[in-house]
Amino acid sequence: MQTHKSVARDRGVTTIPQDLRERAGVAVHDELSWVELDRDLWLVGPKGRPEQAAPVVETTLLAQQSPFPKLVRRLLAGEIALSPKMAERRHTPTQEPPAVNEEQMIMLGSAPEPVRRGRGRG
Amino acid sequence: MGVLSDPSAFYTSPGSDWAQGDLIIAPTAILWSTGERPTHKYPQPAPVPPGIGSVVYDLWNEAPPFAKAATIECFLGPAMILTDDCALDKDFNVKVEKLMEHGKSEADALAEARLDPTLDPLVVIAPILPYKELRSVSPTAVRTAQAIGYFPILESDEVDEGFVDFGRAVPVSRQLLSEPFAALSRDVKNILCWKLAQHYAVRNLSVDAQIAAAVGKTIVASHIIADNKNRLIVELELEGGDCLRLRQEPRQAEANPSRVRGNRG
Repeated sequence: MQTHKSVARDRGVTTIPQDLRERAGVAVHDELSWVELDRDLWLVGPKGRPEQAAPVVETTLLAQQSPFPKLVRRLLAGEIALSPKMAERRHTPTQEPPAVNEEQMIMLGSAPEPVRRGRGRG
Repeated sequence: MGVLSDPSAFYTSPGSDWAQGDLIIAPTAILWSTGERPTHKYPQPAPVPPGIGSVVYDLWNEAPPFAKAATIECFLGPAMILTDDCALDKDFNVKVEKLMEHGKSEADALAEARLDPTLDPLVVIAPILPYKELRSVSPTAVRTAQAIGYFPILESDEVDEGFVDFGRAVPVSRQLLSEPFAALSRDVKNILCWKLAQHYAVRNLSVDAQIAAAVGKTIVASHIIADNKNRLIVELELEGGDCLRLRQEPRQAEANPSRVRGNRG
């Protein structure tokens, strides 16, 4: 991937190296678009092109950063609603469990004590 | 290929409401003792993309007089609903039944209960983490659902591989849950229930394992029944159709120490 550097001068004036202007097709009086991909990360080019490229670049960058790239792609594609309308709650008749007394509950929960190598409360 | 290694058997389409085993996006949190984690200045931007990093804030500006100072670490990413389906709708079901007892039709009772956001406000979820964050346990044991305290998330065309850490379970508001981006099949949900039972009550289940080993057959179901003397009977169904009944020992009168021969108190 080719990279180019330029230095911002007074009041933010900067120059675009000639070979980059030629490769990118930037002519005199062309309007440049700046599209923010991330904090301190911008996609710059003649109007129209960065906007077209940004979603692809953003998705790729985010997916590369995340341990869940498929999830990120689905989120960016709008496939997962973050505020869903999940109003269709269904009623299931409540069922009381069989009544057991304290003695029976103690028996149900009893088992040999495991050997604990606890650290204490230190 | 078993259900834990076949995506088409592992997942099913999400239902119209949240359910146990649904994969969602939501915040989770850990409470630390202050000083255990470096803190951030409040507030911080939300993590982009989800599943990366966390924010850490001190809860109070000084240690409280009656407890230790606490710090909260919050995450945002994929998570699994652990709450059982019955518990997800416990308040809701009771409200519907009360409304019906007061003469409302089931349709009207459902419609009214659905409008009440205070019913079952909390759902217990646990984060889904990448395998690089797994410690002390082998990834193979987690992927095959043999490790206690973890549950595998199988990679599919639409879901990234990871694991659920039951030790990071936390209650969150129902209103913070995204729609499910995947849901577990019936068989895999059953495995999830078993793994949750193992995690929270493994000692009791170890008795089942001892019985199964002793009789040489797998226990496939259990029922609690009582006899006509109200003694507890646990009926275990074994594979092959056999049945094993465990009866509670008859109540024995406690010996009075003063009446035990040789004990002069």
